[in-house]
Amino acid sequence: MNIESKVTSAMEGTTHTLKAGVNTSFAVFVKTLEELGGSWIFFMRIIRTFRKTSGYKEAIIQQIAEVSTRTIGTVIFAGIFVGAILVLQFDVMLRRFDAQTLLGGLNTSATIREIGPMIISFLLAGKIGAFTTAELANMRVTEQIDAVESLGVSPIQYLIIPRFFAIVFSSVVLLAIGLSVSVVGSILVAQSFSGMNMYQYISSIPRFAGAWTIFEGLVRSIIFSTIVANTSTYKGYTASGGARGVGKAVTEAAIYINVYIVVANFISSSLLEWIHDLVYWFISLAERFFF
Amino acid sequence: MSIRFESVSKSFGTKKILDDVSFEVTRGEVLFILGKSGMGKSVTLKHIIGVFAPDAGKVFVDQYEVSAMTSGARMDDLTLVRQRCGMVFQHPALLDSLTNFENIAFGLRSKQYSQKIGRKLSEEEIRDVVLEKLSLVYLEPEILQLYPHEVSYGVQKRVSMARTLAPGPEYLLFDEPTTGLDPLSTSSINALISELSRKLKVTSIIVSHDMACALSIADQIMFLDQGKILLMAPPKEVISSAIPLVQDFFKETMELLPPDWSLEK
Amino acid sequence: MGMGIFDRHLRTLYLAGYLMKRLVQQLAKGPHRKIEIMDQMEIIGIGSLPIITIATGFTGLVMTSEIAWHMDFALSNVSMIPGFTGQFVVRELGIAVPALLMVSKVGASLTAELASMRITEQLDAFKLLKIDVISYHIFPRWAACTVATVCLTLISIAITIIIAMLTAVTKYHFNSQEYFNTLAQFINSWDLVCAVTKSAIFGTVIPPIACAYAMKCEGGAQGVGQATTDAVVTCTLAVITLDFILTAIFSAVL
Repeated sequence: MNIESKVTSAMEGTTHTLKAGVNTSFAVFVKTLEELGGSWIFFMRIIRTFRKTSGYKEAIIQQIAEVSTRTIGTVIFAGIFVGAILVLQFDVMLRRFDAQTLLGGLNTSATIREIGPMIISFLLAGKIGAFTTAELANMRVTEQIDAVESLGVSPIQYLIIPRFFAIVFSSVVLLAIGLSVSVVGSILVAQSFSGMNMYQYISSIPRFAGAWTIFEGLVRSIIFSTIVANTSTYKGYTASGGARGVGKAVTEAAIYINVYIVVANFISSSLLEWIHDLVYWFISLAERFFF
Repeated sequence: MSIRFESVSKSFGTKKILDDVSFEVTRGEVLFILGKSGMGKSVTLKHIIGVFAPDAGKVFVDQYEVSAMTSGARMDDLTLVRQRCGMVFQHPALLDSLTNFENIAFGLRSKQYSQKIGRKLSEEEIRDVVLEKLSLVYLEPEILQLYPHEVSYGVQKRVSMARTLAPGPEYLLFDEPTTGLDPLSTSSINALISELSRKLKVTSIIVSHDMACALSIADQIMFLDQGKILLMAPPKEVISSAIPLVQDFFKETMELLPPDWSLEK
Repeated sequence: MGMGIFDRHLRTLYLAGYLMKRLVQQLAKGPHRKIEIMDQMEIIGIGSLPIITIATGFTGLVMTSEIAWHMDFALSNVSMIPGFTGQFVVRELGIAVPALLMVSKVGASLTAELASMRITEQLDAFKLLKIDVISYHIFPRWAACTVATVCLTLISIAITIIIAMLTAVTKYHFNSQEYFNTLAQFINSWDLVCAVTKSAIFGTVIPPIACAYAMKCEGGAQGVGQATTDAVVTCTLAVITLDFILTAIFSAVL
């Protein structure tokens, strides 16, 4: 082939790739909107049913026990490693700026507010989210959900609501445990890998991480847990198509949970920042007023 | 008292599954719905309990218009219909996390059932009902403590029947009860269905591929093809029908039947 | 929890190791199945592009605000934002987040696909027809996943830095030229090598684990669901663990 045709085919190839990229992106965009709509409607249905009916305590507690025992080991494992990774990274970077004394504070703050909830939620998306989707999807394609419905029992009440609330509650608690493990683990890692004294490390923490940090971490945890709970039950409940359908539902649940978490991270970040500024504005206003 | 379809049409995407279908099943009748795979048989059944809503036309169960109940506020009324109709699914669809006993008792514990009979059943009463239905399907009480995955597929099928029978429905809907079963299980399940219909005097609608069974126990046989009813008639008329598809079905079935088979019940 | 459960996972990881060995052997000796790899590159690479772009875009937005806030608060000095942000993105965030997203997108779909094939007895059919699943089905996907992860990671780093820069310019009144100059001071080619290596390793590890779980699944629809769940969890843990090990190695070396 001469130069001309090589260039032409290269250009064709690039155009084809670009077109494919744009097409895929557009299709994904439309599908995401459908997903969001369906998820939202499902969420509203759950809340409505929960408020109108009662008698869930036992079922929810049982689900909480199941979810927690399944997941606690993995969360602790992940917590330690996430903390460790961040310590190492921040240490190297802070060295560059000669600001190593800030390691403790920076790491703790970043872990609790941002990165900890996000990464550990990714893990929960798999362990809890995928599992719940798989369970419900299997029940759907083997007509168990239809059977429950045909006997006059509402599947939303019997299956979905206990799982939903159990997941939200358990995930928040598990995240709290995971973040605590992260923070404590970081202290130890800092000592062994960066040669930083434990007390040195802890001393910088109060400056960076206070009540507001924990509040932020908590808010994020609740939002991410709700995403895991809603998306996983929704995808499982609406699965169809035999074994293949189960696989598809689990895959989509895993993907959507992760993407929703990242987007929610941004939205909650902006929101919390705005609220933070507002609160402090009020406080400064009050100070001026009263003093 | 009957189940009525009036000009029901239903499409999934571009595919028209039911096309202007009308029929009626009166109390005490046994109706078989036959047809090639994918021709809308299961979909018809699911319309009766309101799992699907028709795109056009109406579905009635006794005095209730099921097709109007499938969304919004009327969904609570759907339970009234569902209590009247018991559906046995193609797969046993037993809940994996409950024992066989709990599965059969499932319909008896629901709030709706308590509402229907005006009170809550005691554990003893539930146990009595479960044992009674168990004997109807010819199962031993030993299997009650086991879980669905611990018993054979044939036993699971019978347990799912007992589960459907427990709340005492007036209409029984069977979705391909013998598909995928070995010949021994097939004939025992068929005998069971026939016996239940006669004994309990319930109205039965059975979706099946099994024409031999249909010919032996049906009062009416309905053929669905391309979303339309080809024929709805008693077995004698079906045998002598001139419609090609029905003849083909019958011919294939005759090859499988023993040589001394006749239409005598 | 108990040894019984670990047992199953360990055996699957053992199978994953075996698959890895076979895949590398095929890489060395062929057949290279270039056409199938290209097909899979489109499915895996382009297919994951929207997700990675969206996710890293949003992550970038959050990152800059966070780091800027910390800098401002601690040192009252925002001049370090480009350097710090850039470093953090290139070394950690820009690699870990795409990798975790690839785990859910690619890992889950590979497992689901192969597991469905197994329980519908397609894999048995392959065996009868003397088609080697590893060579025919897994290899192209493995190669495509590795390359795609590297490319997508680089793209995501670029996007995150651009968004970070835009945020810095609009919120903290940086000059874009200034930004890039400061950035260039803090990131060197070694960082990029680190990024490529890390992402390559993440991308390489996902398919063997995913396919191992699929090949060991059993039990119909439930088996498919279980295998996919386990694969996603194990891959996520593997990525986190490898991230730690590689970070430790790279920090010690640098």
